[in-house]
Amino acid sequence: YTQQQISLSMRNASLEQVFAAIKQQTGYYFLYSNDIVKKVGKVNVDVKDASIDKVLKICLAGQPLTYKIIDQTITIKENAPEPPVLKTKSVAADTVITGKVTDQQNNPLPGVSVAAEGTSQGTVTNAEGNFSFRLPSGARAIVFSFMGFTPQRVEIGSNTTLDIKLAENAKSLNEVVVTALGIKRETKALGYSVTELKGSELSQGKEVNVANALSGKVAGIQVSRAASGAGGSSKIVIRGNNSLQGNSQPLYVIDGVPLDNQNIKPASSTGGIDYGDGISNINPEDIETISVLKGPNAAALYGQRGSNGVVLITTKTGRSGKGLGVRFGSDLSVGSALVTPDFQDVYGQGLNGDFTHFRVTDGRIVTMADAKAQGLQGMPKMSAGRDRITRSSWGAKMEGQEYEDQWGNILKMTPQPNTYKDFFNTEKQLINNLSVDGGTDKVNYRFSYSNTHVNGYVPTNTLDRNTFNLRTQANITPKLQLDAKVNYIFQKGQNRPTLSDASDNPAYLFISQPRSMPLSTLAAYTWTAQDIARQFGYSGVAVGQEKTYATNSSTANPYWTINNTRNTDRRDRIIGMLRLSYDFTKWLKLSARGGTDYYTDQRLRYRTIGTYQSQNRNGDMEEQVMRVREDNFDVLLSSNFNLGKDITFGLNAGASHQQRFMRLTGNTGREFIVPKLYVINNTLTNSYLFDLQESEINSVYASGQFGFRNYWFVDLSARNDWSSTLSPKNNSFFYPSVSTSLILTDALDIQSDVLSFLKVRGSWAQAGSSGNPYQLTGSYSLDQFTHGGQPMASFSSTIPDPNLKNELTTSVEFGADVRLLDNRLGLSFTYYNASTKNQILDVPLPPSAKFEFRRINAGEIRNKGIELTLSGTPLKLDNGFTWESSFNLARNRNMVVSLTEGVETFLLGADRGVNVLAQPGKPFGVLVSNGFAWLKDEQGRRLIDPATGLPLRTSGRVQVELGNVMPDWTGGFFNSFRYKGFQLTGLIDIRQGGMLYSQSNREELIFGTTKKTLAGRDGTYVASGVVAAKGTNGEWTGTGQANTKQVKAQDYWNVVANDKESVVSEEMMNDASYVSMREISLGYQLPSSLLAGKFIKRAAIGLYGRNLFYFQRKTDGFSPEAAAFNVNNSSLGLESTSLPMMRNFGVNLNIEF
Amino acid sequence: CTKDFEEMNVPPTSVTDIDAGLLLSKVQKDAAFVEGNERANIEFGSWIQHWAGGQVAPVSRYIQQPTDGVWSAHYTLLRNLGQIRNQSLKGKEDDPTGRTKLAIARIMEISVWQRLTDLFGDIPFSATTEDAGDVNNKPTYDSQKDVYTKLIADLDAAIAKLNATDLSYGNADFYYKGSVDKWKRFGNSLKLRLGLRIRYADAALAEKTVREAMAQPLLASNADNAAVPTFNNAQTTNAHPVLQQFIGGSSDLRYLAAALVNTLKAKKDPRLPLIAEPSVTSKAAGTPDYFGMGVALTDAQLLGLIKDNFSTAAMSTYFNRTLATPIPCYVFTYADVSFFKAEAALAGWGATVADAETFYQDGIKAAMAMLPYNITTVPPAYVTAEFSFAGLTEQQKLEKIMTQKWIMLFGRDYEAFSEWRRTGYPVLTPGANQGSTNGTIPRRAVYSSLEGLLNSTNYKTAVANLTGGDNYTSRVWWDKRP
Repeated sequence: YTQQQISLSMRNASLEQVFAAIKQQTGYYFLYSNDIVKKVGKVNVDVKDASIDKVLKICLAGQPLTYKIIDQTITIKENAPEPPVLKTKSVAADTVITGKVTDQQNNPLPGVSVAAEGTSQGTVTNAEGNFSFRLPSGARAIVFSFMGFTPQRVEIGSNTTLDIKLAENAKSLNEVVVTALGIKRETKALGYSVTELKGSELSQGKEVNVANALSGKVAGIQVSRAASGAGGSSKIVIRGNNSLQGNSQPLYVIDGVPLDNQNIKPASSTGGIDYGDGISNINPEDIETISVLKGPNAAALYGQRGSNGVVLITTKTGRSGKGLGVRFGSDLSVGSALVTPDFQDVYGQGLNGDFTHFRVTDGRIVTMADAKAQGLQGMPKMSAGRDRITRSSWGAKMEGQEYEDQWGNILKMTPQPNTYKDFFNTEKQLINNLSVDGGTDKVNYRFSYSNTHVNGYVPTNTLDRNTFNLRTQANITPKLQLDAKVNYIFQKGQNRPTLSDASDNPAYLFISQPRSMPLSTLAAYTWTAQDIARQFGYSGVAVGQEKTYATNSSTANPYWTINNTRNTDRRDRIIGMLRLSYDFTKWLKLSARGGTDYYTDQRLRYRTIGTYQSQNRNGDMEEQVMRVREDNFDVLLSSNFNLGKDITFGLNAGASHQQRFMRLTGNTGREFIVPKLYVINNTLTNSYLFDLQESEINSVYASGQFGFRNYWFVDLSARNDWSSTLSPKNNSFFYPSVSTSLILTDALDIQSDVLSFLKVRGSWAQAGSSGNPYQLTGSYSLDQFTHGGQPMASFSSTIPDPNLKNELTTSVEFGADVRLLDNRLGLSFTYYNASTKNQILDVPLPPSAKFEFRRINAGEIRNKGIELTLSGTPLKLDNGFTWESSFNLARNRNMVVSLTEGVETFLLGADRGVNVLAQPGKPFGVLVSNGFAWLKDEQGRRLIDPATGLPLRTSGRVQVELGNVMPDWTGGFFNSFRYKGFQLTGLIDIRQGGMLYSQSNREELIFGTTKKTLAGRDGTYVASGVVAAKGTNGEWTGTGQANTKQVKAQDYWNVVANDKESVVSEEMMNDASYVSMREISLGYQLPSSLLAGKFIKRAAIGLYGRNLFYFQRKTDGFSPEAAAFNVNNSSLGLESTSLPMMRNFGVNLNIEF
Repeated sequence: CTKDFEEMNVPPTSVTDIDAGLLLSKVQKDAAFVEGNERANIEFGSWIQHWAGGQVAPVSRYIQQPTDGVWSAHYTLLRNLGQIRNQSLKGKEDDPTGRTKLAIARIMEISVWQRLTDLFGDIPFSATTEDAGDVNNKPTYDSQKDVYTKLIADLDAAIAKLNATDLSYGNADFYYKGSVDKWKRFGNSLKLRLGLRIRYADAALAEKTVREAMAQPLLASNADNAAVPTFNNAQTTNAHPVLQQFIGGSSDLRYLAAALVNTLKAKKDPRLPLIAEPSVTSKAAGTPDYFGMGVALTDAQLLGLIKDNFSTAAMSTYFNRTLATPIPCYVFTYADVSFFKAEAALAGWGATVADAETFYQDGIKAAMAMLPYNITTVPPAYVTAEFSFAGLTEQQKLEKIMTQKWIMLFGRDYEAFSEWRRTGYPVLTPGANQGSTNGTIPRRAVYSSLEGLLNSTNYKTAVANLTGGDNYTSRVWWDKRP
C-alpha cells in the first residue's frame, strides 16, 4: 500500500522539510530522533508521481539512515553497522520469530511495531508485549519501533525467540490521542486540552465503578460518589456545574458509542435506593485508554451532550501474535468504614442526666422522679422513645447500673462503643478477569470475561456482575475493514441499602440509638409475647411484628430491615458496535458505524408483614421493569488534501442519527393478604407505574484540520442537530467551533536543553442541547384511581413553552504546554471561560402563581477557571530507579449570571434546615437556611437570655445565607517510584472550600450521641455569646457583656436542635475541604528471567490501599466526598444520614500464559 | 428526516384537552379530603383540641413551622378550577352548555378562596395567574377585606348565572349530581357563611350580606348536604381521610384531645362512643372509659405520658375499615347552615331573635342524624340539658351554638379553626408548652416558605401589614374577638 504518488521538487532542503512535505501529501507520520536527522546534510529531490519508497530511497541515498514504513508511520533510524556475514545456522525464511518487548523496567509494551527490515511485513505486539511473525525471505534484521522509544534493530541470528528492551526516547513526544468521534490526533496539533489515561493508569486498586478511579488524576475533574453500597453511582463534573436542571455530568462514549449513564429513579432526600449508573457497568479491565475532553472545546462534535465534556473510552482489541494470549487476573479487597460519627461513650439512655421511668417491685411503672420522691423499691425502666424525650443519650453516666430496658430485658448500663463494627460487615470484593486474544494479520480478536462479587458493608447487600466482551477487527479486503464488538453485562444486586432520611436506611439507627443500648436487644428483632407483657411506651404491637427501638416513624430496626425486607435487581445490558470502513484511496476514507446500548432493569422490593413502616404493618411491595435503549448510527467521510508544500488540509464530514427509548412498567401493592407470597395479586390495594419516553436527534457535521509546516494548526468544526424534542420551527440548531495551536519551539526553531517544547493553544466552541421529550405542551393527567367510578383529572403544574429553543454553551479556552529541562519537567496550563445560555429550565414559581414551575429558556451560568498540571521526573538513576511526579490543580469560578426576567431564585435542592439555590450574581449552590437562626448583636455575637443562660433564637424560621457548596479548588498529587520490577505509587486527592449541610449532625445533637455533646453535661456548659436585655418593645439587644451563666449541656443542645423540624441551621454546616490519601499501591513484576521457558509468561502481584486516611478533614463524622445521596443537583451540598465511605485494602495477581 | 418528530413528541400518558367534569371531581374530592387528613389534624385539629397531636408533630406544640403544603394545595385547587374557565369551557360563558357549569365552578372557587384567606389572612388573589399562557410569578397580596368584598360580589354574579335548564355536571359533581337547585342553595348558604365570618370586622357588609342570604333558599335538610362519598372497600385514597390516617398514618397521632372527649362526656353526648374509643388500659381493666390526651404538652408531661391510657378515634366508626356505610366526607351541611341561621337570628339579621333557639335545635338534630352517628332521635336528657336558650345571655347562647358547632365540625379542621377564632367559643385552654407562641393557641397559619423565597418583595409587604409579622400569633383581619 505504498502506491501513493508523490511529487516533490526540493533543493538544498533539510530532511525535516522533506519529511514534512511527504507528510502533507500522504498523511504519513514520521518517527525519528531529532539528533539523527541533524547528522544528515541537505538533500535534493525531484520526483514526479513517485512512490514513498522511491522518494525515501532517493533522500536517504548515501546517508547513514534507513527507513521503515509500518501502517502510516515512517520510522527513520540510523544504520546499524553492517551485519556480520550470515552463518549457516542463521534461520531460514518462513521461520516464525516470537518474543516479547518491554521497557527498561520490564513493563510489557503493547503496540510496538515489529518488522523485517526493508520490508513492509511485520506485526505489532499484543497487550502483553508479545509478538510472533513469519520472516519473509531475505530478511536480515528486525526493527522494533514504538512511539516515545528509540527504535531498535536486531540482526537475525539463530535465535527464534527475541526478548527486547526498548529505551525511552524523550525526544520524540509526538503523542497521539483519541479525540472527538474517535479520530486519532497528535496532541501537538490540538488547540484544546485533552487528558488521556491509559487503562493501566486508572487504578492499581480496583474500583468497581471506573468513574471513581479518575478522582485526583485529571485537572478539573471533580468526582463524588454516593455512599450507596456495592455497585453505586458516581458523579463526575468537569470544569464546574453548568446545568441547573441536569446533573452536569459528562457524556461517556465507548468505542464511539454513547453510553446511557442515567440513574433511573435515584434516591431522594426522603429515601430511595441507588441502583447504579451506566458507567458502573463497565469492566475496567477492558479499557485501553480514557480520553477526557473537557467541555465543548474538545467535544463540540458530540453536539448537545458534549457540553459537559466527554469521557471517551477505548477498549482493548486483539493483537496479532503467536497463538493465543491468555491473561488471568484476580483482585481481592476488603473494606471498612473510613469515618464514622464521633460517638460519646459516657452517658446512656435517658434525659436530664437520669433515667426516665422506674419499675416498682410490684410491677407498676412510674416516672423516675416519682420513684425517687416516694423512695420506691425496684429498678430504673426505659420507655420506648419518641423524639428525644426518652430515647436519647442525655441520661446518667454509664456505670454498670442495673435497669430494665423498654422491652423488659434486665441489663447493666455499659457503653456500647462498637455498634458500627458489630452490625456492619467488612466489605469483601473479589474480581476475576480472564482474557484471550490473538489473530492473524487479517483478523484479530479479543474475548474477555470478568466476574465481580461484592459482599457489601451492609449485611445481606451483595453485588454480582459478569461482563463478557468480544471484539474483533478484520481486513475483509485490503480496503475494507471491519470492527465489531459485543459487550454483555449481567448484574445482580441484592439488598442495596436505602439512603438518606428514611427509616430503613440502616445508618439511621446508629446516629440516634441510645449509646447504652446493646445491639443484642435489637438483634432479636421481632416482638415476643414476653416483650409485649413487659414493654413500656409502645402501643398496638403484636407478636411477630418488627420490634423497633422507638415509636416514631423514622426508627426501623436494621436487623429487621436486613432480614425481612428485600430488594433485588437485575440488569441485562448489551452494548454493541459494528463499524465498517473503506479506504477509497490513501486520502479518502468512509466509515459507517452502528451502535446500541440496550438494557433492561428489573427491580423487586418488598417488606414482609409486620414491618413497622408499612401500611397497617402489613407489608408492601413494588416491582418494576425498565427498558432503555439508545441507538446511534453515523457515517464519516474523511480525507486529506495537500495544498502546496507547507500546508496540510484534512476534511471530515459526517451524519448521525440517534434514537432513545425508555419504557417503565410496574406495580406497587400494599398490605399482603397471605404471608410470604410476594406477588402483586397478594396485596389488598395496588397501583401501577408507567412511563414512556422517546426521542430522536439527527445531525450533520463537518470538521477541517489545517496544518502549516507542522507547527501551526487550525481546526474548524460545525454541526447541525435536528431534535424531536423541540417544535418544528426551533428543532434545528447549529453550532461551530474553532481551535488553533502553535508549536513555538518549532516555529521559532528554538533548540534548547532548557526549553524543550513550547506550545500555545486557543479555542472557541459552542454546543447546543435540546432537553427532554414532552416539554412543549401542558397537559391533563388522570388520577390513577377513580373515586367510586368517577374519573378525576388535573392540569400539569408546569407551564410549558411551545416555543422552547435549544440551550447553547459557548466556551473559550487558552492554554500552553511547556516541557523543560530535556523534557524532564512538563507544565500544562489552561484558562477557560464557558457560559451556558438559554437553559431549558423549570423555574420554580411561588405557589401563589397557581403553577409550580414555568418552563423557559433562561439563564446564563458562567464557569471560568484555570487548570494546571505539572509533571516531571525528579529522579532518574542509572540503576533504573525512577521517581515520577505530577500535580494538578483546578480552580473553577462559577457564577449564575442571570435566570430570567423576574426570577431571582432557582431551587436546586432542600432539606429540612436548608435550601440549596442558584441566584443571579452568586455562584451555583448557595446554601440558605430554612430553619431557625441565632439572634445576634451587631458584631455577630449570639445573644444569651440572662434568665436561662441559653442562646436566643428566632421565633420562626428565617432565611439566612449560610455559605456555598462549590469548592475553591481541587487537585491531585501523584507520585510513582519504580525500581527493577517494583512500582510504588501514591495519589493524594485534594478539595478545598465549599460547605455541606449535615442531617446526621442534627440527629446526633438532638439525641446527644456524639462527643460534641459531652462538655458541660453536669450543668457547667457556658454558651458563647453576650448577655441580652429585653427592650420595652420586646426586642432583644446585646449588652456586650460575655455570658458566664452555666447551663446543662442538654438544655443548650436542645436549643440548637430540638427535633427534625426545629434546628438552628448554621450549627449543621460543615466545611467540605479535605486532603485525602486516596491510593497507595505497590506492584511487583517477576523478572522475566525467572519465568523463562516456563508455562507462565508473566506474573505480577500488587498490594493497594484506597481511601486510606485524611491529611485534612473538617466534617463532623462523615466523609465529605461521599455524603451525597444521589448524583443529581438535588443532593448538592446535603449530607443525609450517609453510610460511611469504605477504606479498602486489596491484593491482586496477574498471570499471563 | 424530521417528519415524525412532532408525533413522537406528544406525551404518551396525558392529554391536552379534557372534560370540565373531571377537573371539578378532582377539586371537590381533594378540597374535602385535605381538611381532615392527618396533616390537618395534627395542626389545626390539635389547635382546636379535637386531636391531641404529639411530640412528633412540633406544630401541635405551637412550634412555628411554615404551612407550605396547605398553601400550595389551595392554589393547586384554584389552578384546576381556573382551567375550567380558561380552557375547557372558555367562550361558553353565555351558552347553555357552559354557563351553569362555569357558575358552579366559580362557586366552588369562592369556597376555596374563602378557606385560604381564613387560614392565612392577606393572600395573592386578584393578581394571581388567570391564564397559563400569561403567568404572574410575583402576584401581589390583597387585603383580606378586599378579598371578602370581591368574593361576595362574585358569588352573587355566579348564583345569578345558575340556570336549571342548562347542561350541568351530572355524576362528575360529587356534591349534588349536577342539581342546579341544590347549587343555588349551596351558593346562598356560602354567602351566609361569608357574611357571618366578617361580622366582627365589617358589621355593615356582614349584615347586608347575611340579610340577603337569609332571604334566599338555603340548605334545608341533610339531603342538601354537600359531601364527597367515601369508599372503604376500594383503594386507600378512596377512604375517608380520618380512616386514611388510621390505615397509613402514625400510631402516635391517633389520639383525641381532652377538650373534645371531656365535653362529650360532660354532656353525656350520644356521639361519644361513635367518635372515641375507650382507652386500652380501661378496657383491659374491664371498665371501658374515655380519656382525651392533653395538647401541646411539655417535655416533662410527655415523659410521663402513657398512650394506652388515652382514647383514639372510635374503632367502630372513623377507624373502621369494614364499616358497612362509609362516612361521607362533609363539606358544608344543613347543620352548619342551621347554626349560622341561629347566629344571624340572635343578631336579628333576616330572622328574629326568637328563631335562634329553633335554628340551634335544628342544627343539633341535623348534626346527630349525620353519619356515622345516625342518631335520629336525640335522647330526652340531652334535649333537656342542651336544647333550651331560656335564661341565657346573648353571649351564652352564642357559646352554646358554637360549642355544638365545634362538636359537629369534628373532621373539618379548617372550618372549626376559623369558627373558633371568629367567636372565641368554645373557650379552649392552651396546652402548657410555650412553643413559638408563649403558650397561646395559634391564630393563623404561617405563609409558605416558598413565598418568602420566590415572591419575596410581595411577601414582605404582606408581612409588614400583619401586626406581629408572619407568625402564629398574628391575627387575620376578621379575627377581632379576644
